[in-house]
Amino acid sequence: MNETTEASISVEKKHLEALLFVAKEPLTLKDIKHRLSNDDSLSEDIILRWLFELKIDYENRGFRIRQIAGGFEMVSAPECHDVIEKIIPKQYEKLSTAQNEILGIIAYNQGIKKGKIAKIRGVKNCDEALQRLVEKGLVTENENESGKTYCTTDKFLTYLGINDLKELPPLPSAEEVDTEISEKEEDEQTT
Amino acid sequence: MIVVEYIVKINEFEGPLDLLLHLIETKEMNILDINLSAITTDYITCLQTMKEHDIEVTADFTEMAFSLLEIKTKMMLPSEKEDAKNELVQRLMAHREYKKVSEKFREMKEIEEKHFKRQRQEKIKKTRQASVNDILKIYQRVLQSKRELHGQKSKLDELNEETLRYKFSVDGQIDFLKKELANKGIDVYDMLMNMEWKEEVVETYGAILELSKQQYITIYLEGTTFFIERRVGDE
Repeated sequence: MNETTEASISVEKKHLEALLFVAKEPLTLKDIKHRLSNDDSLSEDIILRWLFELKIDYENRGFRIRQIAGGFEMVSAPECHDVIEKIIPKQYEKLSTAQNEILGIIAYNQGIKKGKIAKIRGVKNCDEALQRLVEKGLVTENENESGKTYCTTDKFLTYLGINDLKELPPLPSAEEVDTEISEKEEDEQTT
Repeated sequence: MIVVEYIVKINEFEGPLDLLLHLIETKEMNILDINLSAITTDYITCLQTMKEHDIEVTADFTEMAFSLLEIKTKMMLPSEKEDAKNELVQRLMAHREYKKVSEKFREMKEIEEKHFKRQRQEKIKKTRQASVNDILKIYQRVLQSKRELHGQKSKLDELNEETLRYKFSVDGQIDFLKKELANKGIDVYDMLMNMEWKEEVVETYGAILELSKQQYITIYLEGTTFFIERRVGDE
């Protein structure tokens, strides 16, 4: 990096900007690195710095760079949605109450089994809602020796507009409820 | 009673816990200190009202009624008094947590929906049914442009074509199309344009009409391109 001039840095930063502009999926640091340089001359730290510089550049503009599902992408500013909605019809995923609830349960209990979901909801049959979530790509079904387990996907992060699961809102009174309940259910699962 | 009637009509409950929670909230009870006998009565009344209004009462709801009665009975025994109720309270609390979470998800989603990405700006390819008339138009267009090309051809080419006249037949082209259609749709214009001989175009057009008549294929428009595709569920 020591030979890189100020000019070439800005060229690469320009490339980065162009990449983000045309990308249809969030780009991870790795993606960006591979696309910007054939050799490994660029470090992820530098890309990250440029990203944040660009992010600052776009503050108070009609679009911005944000971090989502582990990658970076350009989006229009949320305060401009009125104008854009007139041009682009809304075509969002609509989830039923049951689907939304199940999604919540899975989000906070990654790798949960179907039986436990049913137990938490007090409704035995959640197959259909669960299946819809899998079809929508918000949830994956994994099969292992103890049966099917469910996890949320990257698409789920994009769906909520968050970067990773740590950004989920905390369970309102998680400490009182969650631990006891899960212990109890774990016991029941094993018996 | 009136309250119950109202509750049943207004809400669609996601299950027995949802209904119970709603009853508790309506009565402004503390979830940790439920008046079990009042709630049980309300709950059972709700189920009856649901039945009266032809709302499906699933086994989950009935099972909960049974559990409530069971807990009520157990509460009379001093030894089991707390345990029985505790489990229910905890399930209710967990349910309440996830209900709040799912509301929160809705809010987050609403905010997320205000961010627009490039991907969403892409035009969705719309497909619609098309008819043989559309194929006819394509056929005419193809012949027209072939005729224009034809003007530039030499006498020798024409003689060549003469010998090819009987090389193509409708039946032959039907077989050809069936093979082509086996696993994909065909862009009609593209296919006809790429055919070298006018005879081939003519016979293929005949074959398309025949297959359409036999309902072997469907014709559809995607974007500005007409396709033929094997009818699903055929044979």
